[in-house]
Amino acid sequence: MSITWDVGTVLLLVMAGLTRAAILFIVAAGLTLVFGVLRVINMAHGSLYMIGAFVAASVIQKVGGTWSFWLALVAAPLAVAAIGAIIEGVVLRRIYQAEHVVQLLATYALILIFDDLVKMIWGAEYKSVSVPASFVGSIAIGGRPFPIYNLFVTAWAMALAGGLWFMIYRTGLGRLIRAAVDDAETLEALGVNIPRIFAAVFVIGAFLAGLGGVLVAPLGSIGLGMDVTILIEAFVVAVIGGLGSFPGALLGAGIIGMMFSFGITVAPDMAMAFVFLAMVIVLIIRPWGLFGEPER
Amino acid sequence: MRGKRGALATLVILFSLILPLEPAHAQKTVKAAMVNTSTGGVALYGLAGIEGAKIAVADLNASGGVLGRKIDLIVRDDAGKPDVGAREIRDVILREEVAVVFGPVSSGVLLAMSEVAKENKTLLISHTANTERAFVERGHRYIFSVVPNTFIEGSAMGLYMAKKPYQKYVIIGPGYEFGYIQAEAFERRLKESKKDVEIINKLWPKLGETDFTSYITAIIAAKPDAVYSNLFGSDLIAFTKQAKGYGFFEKFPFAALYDVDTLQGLGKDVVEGVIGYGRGEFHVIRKLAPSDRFEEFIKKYRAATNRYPSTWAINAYDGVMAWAKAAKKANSIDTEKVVDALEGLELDSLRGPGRFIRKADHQANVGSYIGVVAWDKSFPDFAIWRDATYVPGEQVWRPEAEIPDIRAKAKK
Repeated sequence: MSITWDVGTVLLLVMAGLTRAAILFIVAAGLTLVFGVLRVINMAHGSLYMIGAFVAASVIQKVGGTWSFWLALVAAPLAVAAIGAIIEGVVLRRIYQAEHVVQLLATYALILIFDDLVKMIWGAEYKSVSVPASFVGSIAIGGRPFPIYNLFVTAWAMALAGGLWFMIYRTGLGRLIRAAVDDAETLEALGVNIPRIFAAVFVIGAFLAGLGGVLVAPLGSIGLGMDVTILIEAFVVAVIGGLGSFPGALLGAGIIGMMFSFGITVAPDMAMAFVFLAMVIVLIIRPWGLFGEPER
Repeated sequence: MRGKRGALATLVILFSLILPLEPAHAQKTVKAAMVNTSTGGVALYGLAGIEGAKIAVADLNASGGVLGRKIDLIVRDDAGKPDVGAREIRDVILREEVAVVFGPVSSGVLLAMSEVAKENKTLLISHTANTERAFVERGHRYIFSVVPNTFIEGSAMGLYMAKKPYQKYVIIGPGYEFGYIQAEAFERRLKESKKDVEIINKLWPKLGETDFTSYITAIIAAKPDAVYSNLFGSDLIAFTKQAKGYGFFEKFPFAALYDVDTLQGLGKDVVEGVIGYGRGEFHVIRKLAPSDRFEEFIKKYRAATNRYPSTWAINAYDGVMAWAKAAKKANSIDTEKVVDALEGLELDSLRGPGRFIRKADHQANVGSYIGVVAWDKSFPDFAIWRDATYVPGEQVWRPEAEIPDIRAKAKK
């Protein structure tokens, strides 16, 4: 294929990769945070993302007008966080001590349950949310048009990364979370209310999934099946970065975003293979991921 | 004494739970099954098909059923997965002893189900999944199609696009069975009908892809004259919205499966002027082949679902009706006799008169609908098409002479 490799093209691909990385990071950060602290791979993380998108679509449709998107941006993640609190209290709390297989099965069951619930509430039809009025259109980057909304998503993800970093490394809750990742038992022996930390972390994870769902809504179509798609990609990101590692999710999302962006342009048939190949290579060299730590 | 009676009562209750009560008319019903997708990403199409089939069965039962026997429609979910589809069809054949099976959505599932149908000599009528390989290369006596297969669909678009002045094309479609072979048919007909055309790149995002940014930038970088696509449904909605932000549609003429479902999903985010094609658009059928029967169907469908019927509902209705008509013609529900009756059968299609099933590959000469996406006053919520045309199946289906060769090669 004839591609002209000028600065404009490269810039466009980098920007495109960043948009994908932004969504992947937001979703994978939640997945990895939950795993890091709770040691549970939450298969239903994608379902929470899907619900976030559906709630956003409903809010925007019901409220209408310019402000509906901003309302959805606040309301949907909170709604999903509430669902997360219920999941944690009803299901996860009972199986923290169980084998990984049990946890996988339980959270997998949630995928099926949420799939049916979403179908009952919203139906199987596709839904579409328009790009909010303030971000319609494109600006020229290197002489090529680039959608403004994509820039907004990227900026949002960067701000979020900063915020999460601050929370984890500079606040009391963050200190406790880091300690829980390190050694939950000792922490409990010191009198810290571990169940409460676990619940808080799971709710934050759910919030992030919901946020990803809202941000992606104007970019794509909202429908059944978006749960599984994102889960696989977010999982790859988390594994490459190291399950449980927050900077790892950031780096992993960046790598996968760029691999998609450039891979599809250079060798479209191989793009998907590249992504999994990257995961395999990382797993061979560093089974615990780029930023992860070997399981004790 | 009491203890014994109690035990007996328990036993009776237990047995009544285990043994289903056979209603008196059980002998009289004919069982038919629809194995279709009602969960996952393409559930929308499967659910529409199920609704269409239910209306067909209700219509048939209202006029006495088939050969005086009421039809009992059993619905199963294939979850969009070949292994599940194969398991479900085997189950309805062996345990429910159905006379016919309708379904599914996915071409991959169809290929798996078809093997089971062949092995058990059970009739399988496809109304949504349309990979030509299921009917030609791997075709057999028991599989029929009332949906334009990939060859018809791709060729119709090849013929249509050949009239346009574009020379350099990029193809983008879902990376699985349907996408590849429909695009192959498009490419073949396009090159047969127009000299100097070139496919400069083919892109195959995976089915269910949500982020097309990289594909869009790849197309922009390749600078084609036009872009042909067989993306559909949620993938096409996502692609359209994302491509808009790159000024894509101002740069490239674009053709894709903008069917009723996709246009309803897109709503106000639709792009006017792109070329849409589909397998049975109600707004086009209404204009080109109006009938009271079709309006009646639309009314029933809207009453049941509050939506306009998509092509998946229309074609599923046709599939059930094709089987019923063949059974009447054969005066039997025996599979072998119904199959004989189906070969060459003239359909009472909702899509209009003149549809029949040819013997060579059991494909109906159902054609493709093509138009330009545009808003219309009668539909304020979603766009439809203008300048719609119908390309009849017999104009573009695979030449009959090629079929034996392909089958012989496949056997090797």
